Amino acid sequence: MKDCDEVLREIELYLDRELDPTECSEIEHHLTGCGSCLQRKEFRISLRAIVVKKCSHDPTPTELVERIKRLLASESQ
Amino acid sequence: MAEDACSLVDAAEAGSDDEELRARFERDALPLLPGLYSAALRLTRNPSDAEDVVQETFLRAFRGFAGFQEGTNLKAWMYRILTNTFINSYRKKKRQPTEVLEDELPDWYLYDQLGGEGAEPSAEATVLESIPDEDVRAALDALPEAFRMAVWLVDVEGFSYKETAEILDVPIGTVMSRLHRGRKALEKGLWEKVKERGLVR
Repeated sequence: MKDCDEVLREIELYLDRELDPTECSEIEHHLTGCGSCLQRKEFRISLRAIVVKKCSHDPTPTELVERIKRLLASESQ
Repeated sequence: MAEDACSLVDAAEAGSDDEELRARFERDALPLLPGLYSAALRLTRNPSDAEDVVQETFLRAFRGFAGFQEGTNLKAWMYRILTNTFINSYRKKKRQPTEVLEDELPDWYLYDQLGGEGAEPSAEATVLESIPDEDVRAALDALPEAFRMAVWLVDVEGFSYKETAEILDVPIGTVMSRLHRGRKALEKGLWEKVKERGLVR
């Protein structure tokens, strides 16, 4: 059985889906019975979601899309 | 005369192959443009340079597309070209001093600063949510390049460690270490923003 220290050490790997199924289920088993680790896991998930939400909405300039299409067209002539 | 006719047919066929290749490239690669542009912005931290890097990436990718095996990971392939384009063409012009991260931060830095287990569950998430978008972007942009890329590729683009290692051409262990340290540095940067904005008492 994994204790809190192990689970918290591996939580990044777990959330990044880099652990094998056995290790995942051990972590999940621990999380169902440990509010403190669960809260930390939820925090990691929120943190990542916020970075994704707030950093990935740079609108692509329309002009860039058009320019690339023109370049591709001239390349294949 | 017969030969001429043949070569005309060949030329027409080659032309339609080119057209088909371009159509396939546009269909498969153009949808990746918004993500690649965001990634280029995070790399260059400058919209005009980002456009140049993306344009060059698409040109290089198109020129190499005939050799690209359909069914393999086009997204990872495009990101690898983007990274290489940035390193080879762009960064050389503006050589940056080697960037290092400051001393090791404790794990769970931001969580603890935000009150940790003493706080109401989800209170931390509420504070994070209230940080303005530009502050989160600025905190990410402030990370040294190598760390910024690892965090961007895994956290935002959702690449696996293995894919990220291939894109950045470094061992998986290096990806893991940059990711771990980059995330902590990002947490510190976000905490600075939270304090500056007075988002917590």
